[in-house]
Amino acid sequence: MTEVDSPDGLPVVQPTRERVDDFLAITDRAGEETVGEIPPSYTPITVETTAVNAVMAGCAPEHFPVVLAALEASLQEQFNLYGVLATTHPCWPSVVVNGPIAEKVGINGADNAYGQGTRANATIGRALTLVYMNAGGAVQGQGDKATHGGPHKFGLCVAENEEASPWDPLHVERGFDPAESTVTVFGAESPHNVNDHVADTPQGILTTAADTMAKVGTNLAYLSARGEPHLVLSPEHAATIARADWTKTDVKRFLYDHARIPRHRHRDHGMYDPEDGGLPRHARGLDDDQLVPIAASPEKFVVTVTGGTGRHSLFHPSFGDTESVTVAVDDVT
Amino acid sequence: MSESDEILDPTPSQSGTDESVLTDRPATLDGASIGLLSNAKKNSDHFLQSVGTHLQSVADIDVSDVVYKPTATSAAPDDIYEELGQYDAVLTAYGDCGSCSSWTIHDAIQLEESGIPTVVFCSEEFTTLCQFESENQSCPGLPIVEFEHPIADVAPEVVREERVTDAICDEVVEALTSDPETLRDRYGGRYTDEV
Repeated sequence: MTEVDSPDGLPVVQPTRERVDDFLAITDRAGEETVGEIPPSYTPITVETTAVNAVMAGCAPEHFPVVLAALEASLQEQFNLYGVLATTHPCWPSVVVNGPIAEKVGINGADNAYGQGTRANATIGRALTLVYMNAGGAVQGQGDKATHGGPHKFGLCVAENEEASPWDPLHVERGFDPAESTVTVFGAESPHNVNDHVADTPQGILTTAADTMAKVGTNLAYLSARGEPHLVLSPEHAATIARADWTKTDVKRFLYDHARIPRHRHRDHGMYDPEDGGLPRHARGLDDDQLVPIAASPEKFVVTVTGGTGRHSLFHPSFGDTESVTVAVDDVT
Repeated sequence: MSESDEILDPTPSQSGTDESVLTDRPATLDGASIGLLSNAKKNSDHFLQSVGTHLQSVADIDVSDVVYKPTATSAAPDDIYEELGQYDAVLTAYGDCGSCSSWTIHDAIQLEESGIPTVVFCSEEFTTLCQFESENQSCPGLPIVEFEHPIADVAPEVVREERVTDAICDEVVEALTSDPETLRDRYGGRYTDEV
């Protein structure tokens, strides 16, 4: 074997033995250890083969523990990777990193974090994509049946901007110590912008956000039994909200109450089934004028703070039938 | 090439199994009871009911009411598998998108593993995915019967009168009465070989 092909269409770094060994040296995991079976092919993949793909993606060795953790998180049952990779819907595992490892290995959570320009952001997500293609068979037209796909499917990884957040970061909210590093995977679409340069209250900003989020046509509108709407507040929007002493719980409650769609808007659209009212299941029996929330409870909303200067936030529509998973990342020396 | 220049393979060395969990089929459908499992995709219930009606015209068969999964994008709950366990065979519909195809295959394999002969209906655009998955999950030869795509934007009467064809119904009878070896010859690589 003298060179490897590029499954995602971009040039790859050739995975030489020397480069792969550099990646394996940074983890205590044995190269021959199996990470898991990657759907939709359910082919088992080892730590070493994962490292081969991370090298190809352009990762630096210190990024590898994040790749491994994100891969393992995505394999947990509640994530529904089998559905996420194969679906016609344009979703893909997207990664949010919390804790000290983000700064240590250079994962951007500030200006243009979701865009181009940072090696760690660009390559960690790409490494996952290469694993899903090379091991899972999530190749367009075969194991990946996306109608359009999306640019995030080349890989999407950001850090939460914990310094700029007025609240506990995502991993602390989920029971981890602030000094621990974690990775969270979401089965998400590319983020959608929420522009509000005018509102100066929590209600104002979050009404704009709720209006952006609650649309017939998103998977969340129908698959809200498990769905987790993910709002990525910019530091400026978060500061305005926190200035009024609103907690993250208050934010989620407001979104649950206001990110709603009138029942009649569902009729004969989306995944509506004329036989029984179809989805979302919790809307059956509601009157036409009643408002249907886009999640089953306030707790299902996910709120993170990422980004730099500016009064734009982001909304990540979700695949719907997937739950995000947070796991610890081994520290790097 | 020196050892340090060795290029490693990014694809895993192991692959899916060739074993099959296909269960034995009866020689005839006379006297059989057949369960209908819908994933609630639009028109899937009309499709199943029409196939059931057709089967009843050629054999003495008891066909169930349509059993619906809560969502097409996940596995059927265990109580649905238990409910379907009372039948001699199950027809499940359908794959007409990516994730619903995946989970339809999953449901069919669960039923085959519990001894229930099962037929999967799948749009011709998704048979490759369905077979790729069934062959990688110990079920090469799983009967995947294809129908014309798309099907979600046609009226129920078009589904019943045009999309459920005699050929499809004949194939279902064959799939429910052939032995696993024959099915493996018939369906193994049938769609994936077309890639």
